Amino acid sequence: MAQDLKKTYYIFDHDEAQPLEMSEEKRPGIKHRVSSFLRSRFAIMSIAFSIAGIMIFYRTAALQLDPGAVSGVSESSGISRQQVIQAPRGDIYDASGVALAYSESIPVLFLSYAGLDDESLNTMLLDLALTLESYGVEIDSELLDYFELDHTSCDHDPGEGQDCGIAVFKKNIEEVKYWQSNQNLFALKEIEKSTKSDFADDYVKTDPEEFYKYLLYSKYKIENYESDGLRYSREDALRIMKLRYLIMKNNWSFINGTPVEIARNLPDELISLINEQNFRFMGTIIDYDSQRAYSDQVRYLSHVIGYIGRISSSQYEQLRELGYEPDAMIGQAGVESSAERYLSGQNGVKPYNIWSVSAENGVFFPQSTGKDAVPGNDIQLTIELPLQKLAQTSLEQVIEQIRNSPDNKNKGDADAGSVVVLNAKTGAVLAMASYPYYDPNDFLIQSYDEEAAKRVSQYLQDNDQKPMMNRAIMEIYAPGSTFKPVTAVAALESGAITPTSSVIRCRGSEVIGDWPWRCLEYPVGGHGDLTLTRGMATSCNMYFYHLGVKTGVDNIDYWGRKLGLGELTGIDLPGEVKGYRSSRDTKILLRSNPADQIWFPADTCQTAIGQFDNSFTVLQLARYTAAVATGNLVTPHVVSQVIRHDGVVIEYNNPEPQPIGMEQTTLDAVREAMVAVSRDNEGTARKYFSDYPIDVAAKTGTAETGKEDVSSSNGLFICYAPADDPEIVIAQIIEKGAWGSNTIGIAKNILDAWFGFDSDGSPSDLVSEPAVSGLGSDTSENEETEPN
Amino acid sequence: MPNTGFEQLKSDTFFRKMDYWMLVPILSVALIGLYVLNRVLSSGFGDLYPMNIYKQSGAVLVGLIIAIILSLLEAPTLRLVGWSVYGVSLLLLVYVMVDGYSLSDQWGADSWMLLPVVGSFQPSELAKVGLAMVSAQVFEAMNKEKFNWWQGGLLLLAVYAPPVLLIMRQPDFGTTMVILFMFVCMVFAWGIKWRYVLLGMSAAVIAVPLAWFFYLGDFQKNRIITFIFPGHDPDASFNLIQAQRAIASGGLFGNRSGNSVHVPVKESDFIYTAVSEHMGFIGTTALLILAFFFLARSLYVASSLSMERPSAAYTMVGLTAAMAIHYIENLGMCVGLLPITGIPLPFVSLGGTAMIVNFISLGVMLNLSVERNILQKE
Repeated sequence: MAQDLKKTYYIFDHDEAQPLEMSEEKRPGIKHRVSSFLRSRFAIMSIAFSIAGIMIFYRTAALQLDPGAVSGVSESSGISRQQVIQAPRGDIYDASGVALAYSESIPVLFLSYAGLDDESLNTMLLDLALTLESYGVEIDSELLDYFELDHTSCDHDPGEGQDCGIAVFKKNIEEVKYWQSNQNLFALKEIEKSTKSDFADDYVKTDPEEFYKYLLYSKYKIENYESDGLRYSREDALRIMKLRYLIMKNNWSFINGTPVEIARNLPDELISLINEQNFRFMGTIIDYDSQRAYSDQVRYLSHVIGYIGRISSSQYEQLRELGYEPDAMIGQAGVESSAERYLSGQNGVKPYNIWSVSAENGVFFPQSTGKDAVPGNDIQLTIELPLQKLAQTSLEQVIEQIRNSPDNKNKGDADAGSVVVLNAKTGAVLAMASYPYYDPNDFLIQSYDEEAAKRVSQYLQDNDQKPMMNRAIMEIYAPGSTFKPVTAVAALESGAITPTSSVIRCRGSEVIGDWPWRCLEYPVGGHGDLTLTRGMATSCNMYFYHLGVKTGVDNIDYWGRKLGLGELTGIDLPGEVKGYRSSRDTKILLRSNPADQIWFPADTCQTAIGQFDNSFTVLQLARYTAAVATGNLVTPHVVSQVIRHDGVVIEYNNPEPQPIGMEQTTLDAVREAMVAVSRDNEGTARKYFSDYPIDVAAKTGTAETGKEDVSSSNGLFICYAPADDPEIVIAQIIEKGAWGSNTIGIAKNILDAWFGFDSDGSPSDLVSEPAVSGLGSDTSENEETEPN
Repeated sequence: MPNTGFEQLKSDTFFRKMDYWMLVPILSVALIGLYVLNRVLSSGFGDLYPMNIYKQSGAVLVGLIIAIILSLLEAPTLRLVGWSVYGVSLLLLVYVMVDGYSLSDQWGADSWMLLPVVGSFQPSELAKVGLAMVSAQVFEAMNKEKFNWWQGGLLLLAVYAPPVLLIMRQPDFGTTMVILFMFVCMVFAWGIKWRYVLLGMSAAVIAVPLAWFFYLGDFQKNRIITFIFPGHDPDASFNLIQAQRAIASGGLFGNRSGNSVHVPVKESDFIYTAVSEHMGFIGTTALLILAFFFLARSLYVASSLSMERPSAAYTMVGLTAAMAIHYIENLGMCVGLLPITGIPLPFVSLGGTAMIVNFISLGVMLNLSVERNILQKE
C-alpha cells in the first residue's frame, strides 16, 4: 500500500518534473539536493512564509531602531518632542545604612502645545479640569488669588452653584490694577480717570464683572459675544479660565514646546486614564519628577544633612557650566551642599508624544535617541544615628535643666549649644549636634504647607537664636579651661617643666606677669604646691598663669597651631570658620589702635587659661582633644563613602591622620593630668566619673564672655575615652551654661551609650540624674574676668 | 500499519514521539503573550484585572490539555473529530446568524456569540479547523483517483461553500480571506499544475477590482484606503499610526519611560505593538523566530508525511496555512505592511476561546507529528 501511495504521490505532485528528477538522482550532490528541495511544494510554501516573516522582522526592527527612516510615521498628526528627565538625587545614609535622605518619584501632569484653536482648547480644558476634580486633584492657579466667583449670596450650596456666582476681586484694587497691567500677563493699559472701561477694550478693568467678561469673550474666547446663549455655565467658564491662566503665564515656553505643569501627585487610576485617552486630552503628558524626601530622623542631624532649595542666581552663575537649569534644586547647607557634585545626577532627555489635531511634521524620537538620566551617587555618612539622636536630645534636655536651676552664677539663660563626637583615631564624626536646630522637611514642604512656610521664614529670620547655624563649625567660642592641656603640652615640649618636675606653688594671691591675680578657690593661702596633674585636676588658674609665663606665648601659639586650633579642620561641611589663636600677631590683627597692639605679659597669663583672643569652634576642640589623645592630628569628616547608584563604591573618604611630633612622655603626662580631672578627689569632673568603669581623660571649662553682668558664662567640656586606648572624643559647649561641669551629663550619656554602660536605666534618666546634682555645686573651677 | 495513539502509548513512551520542535516554540510564544498581556491588562482595565489575565492563563492551560488529548487520538478517531468540528461549527454559524445576541454595535460585525463561562466566541474560528481536516480527506481521495478532478472539485465546493457563505454573510472579511488562503495552500500542496497556479494568480488580479466594487463594504474599503494613504481618514489612520508609534517606542529593550502609546485594542489585534513596547527588539525578534520556526517545522513534518499519509499532510498544510496567514496578516498590519483586519495574533492575543481553538489546531498538528515520528522510526 505504501508503494501505491508513493506512486500516486509522484504522479500528482511532480508530474512535470518527474523525468528531470530521475535523471538527476544519478548524480547526487549539493546541487541535486538544493534543486530537489526547491522543487518540493512544501519548501516553496516554507520559503514564502519565511520571506513574509523576514519582511515583518525588517520593518519592526526599522521602526524600533531607526524610526526616522520610516516614512509615514513622520506624516502622522501626532507631535513628538523631547523633554528633560530629572535625574534622581542620591540618597544619604548614616553609618549603619539607615536612609536619611532619599528621592521619591512624583507623577506630574503637563500640558503641551497641541495646536488646538481656542474653542477646542477650551472644551478640552474643561474636560480635563472636571476629570481632575473628580479624582480630587487640585489645580493650583494663581488666578484664584486675585479673582473668583462668590457664591455666598446664592440660595443654594456652593457645590451645586452654577450661574449665580458674583465676580469679585480678592485683593485690593491697587494690587489688582498692578496685576492686570503686568506686561507678561494681561498687559492691560492704565485707565484714565474720566473714562470707564468695558470688557472689549484693553484698559484695566476695575469692575470684577467686566473683568470676567473680558476673560470670557475677548481674552480666552470661551464664549462668542455675537452668538445667542452661553455654552458654559459660569462655574465651568471659571474652570477653563484657571487653566488658561496657567498656560498664559508660561505662554512663551508653551508655544515653543515646553510643557506647562498643571498638577502634581496624581492618583494611579487617573494616570492610566490620561495615558490611555491621550487623544481625548490632547497635549497632556504624564511625567515623573524626582523629589527629595527626608526621613523623620533627619531633624536630629539637620545641620549635618542640610537641605535643598531652588538654585540662587549667584549659584546659577557658578553652576550653569555644569549643566544646571535655572530652576534646579541644589543643596543649600550641610552634606546636601558639600556633596552636591556627588549627589546630583545627570538629567536625561526623553521623547514624548502627544496626540494633536494639526498635521504638523513632528520628529519621532524613539527610545534610543533619548538619553537616560544618570541617578546621583549615594552618600554614606560616618554619623551613627543612635548616637547622634542621643547627643541632640541630651543637649536639648541638659540646656533645659540648666535653665530651670539658676543660682548666683547661673542666670538660667542657657539657650544654645553644640556637641561633637569624633572617632579618636580616624577623625570620623560620629555625632554632631547643634541647638537650636531646624527641620529640613519644612524646606521641602513649604510650598504647600503654610505652617512649614512660617517655620522656614522663622528659621531664616531668627538672628538671635540662629537655628540655621551649625554651632559646631560656624561659631567660635573662647575655650576657657579646656585650653589648659594645650598650655601643658607647650610647657612640656618647650622644656618649661618636665613630667617629673612640674611643681608650681599657688599662693592664693600673687602678681604674675605684672598683674595681681587671685586664686578663685583659695584666695587666701592658695592650693600650695601643685604638680601638673593636680593643677589640671583642680583647674587652678594660678598654676597655669605661672606655667604660661614660664612657657611663653610664642610656644603656646606654636603648639596651639600644631594641635589644629585656630586653623580650618578641613571637614567636608560648608561654612566652617577658622577662629583665632591668642598671639602677638592676632592681637595686632584684631585691634586697629597701635596702642592696643602691644603684648603684655598679663596677656600671656590670659592666653594660658584659654581666654583673651582665643576663640575656636567646638570641632576644633574635638580635633585637638583627639590629637592629645593619640598624638596624631586627624581630619574630621562626615562622609565615609560615595556609592554609585549601582552599588559600586566610587570613593572612600579616609583622610590619613598626621603625626604631630610630640614626645610620648608629654602625651602620658597630659593624659595623667586629664584622667585626674575625672578621677582625683579634687577633679572638676569627679562627680560623674570617679567610679566610672573606664578611665576618661577630661577637662572642664567655663569661659568668660565679657558679658557676665547680663548673661552666664559658657560651659564647655572635652574628653576622650578610654584614656589608655582612645576610641572616642567628645567636645561640647552650652552657651550661657554657667559652668563647664553643668554640661558633663551629655558626654556621660554618650560614653554610656558607646561603651554599653546602661546601669542607670534609660538615656533620659542618665541625663537628668547626674546633670541636676552637679549644677552649681562645683566651685572648684573658676576664671578671672579679663583685666583689660 | 503501525500502532498509533493509545496503543502506541502502551508499548512505547508516547512523549518520546511528540514533536517538541513544534510544541516548545508555541508554548514559548504563549508565555511571551501572557507576560505582555499581564503588563497591558494591569492598567486601564479597572476591576476586570486581574481576573482577565487569570482567565487567559487558564485558557492556555486548558488548551494545552486539549492539545495533548487530541494528539493521543488514533487516526480514525481523529477523522471523526474532524467531521464533528466541521458540523458543530456549521451549526454555530447558523446560530450566530439568528441569535438575539449581537455584538455588532460594539465590534462592528455580527460574528460573535456569547457562551456561558467562556464568554464571547467566534464560530468561524472553529470552522477553519473543521474545513482543514475534512477537505484534506477529499484531497486524498482525489489523490487516490477515487474521484476525477470535476467530481473532486464539486465535492470540495460542497464542503467549503456552506461555512464560507455563512461567514461572508456576517460579513467577516478577515476570516474569509484566511479560509481562501488555506484552500489555495492545500490545493498547491496537493499538486495543482503550475499553469493553473499562474492562471489563478491572473484571476486574482482581475478579481481585486471586482471585489472592490461589488463585494467590499464601505467599512472594509475604508480600511484599505487608509492603509494605502495614511492620513486620508484621521479616525482610521489613528490605529495605524499609533501602532507604529508604539512599536517604535520599544527600542532595543522596551519602552521604560512609563508613558505608553495609546493603541486601540492593544490587548488583542494590536498585541504585537505591546510586545514591542514592553520587550523591544529583543522580544519581537524572539516572537518572530519562534512563530516562523514553528510554521517551517510544521511544513517539514507535512512534507515527510506526504508519501505515506497524504491526508495528514494536507490537514497539516491547511492548519499551518491558516496559522501562517494569521501571523503574517496580524504582524503585517501592525507594522503597516498590510491593511488592518480584525485578525488576532494566535497564542498571544487576549481571548480565551480563540486560544483554545488555536490549541485544538495545535493538538491535531501534534497528533500528525506523532504519527510522522512513528512512521519515520520504522
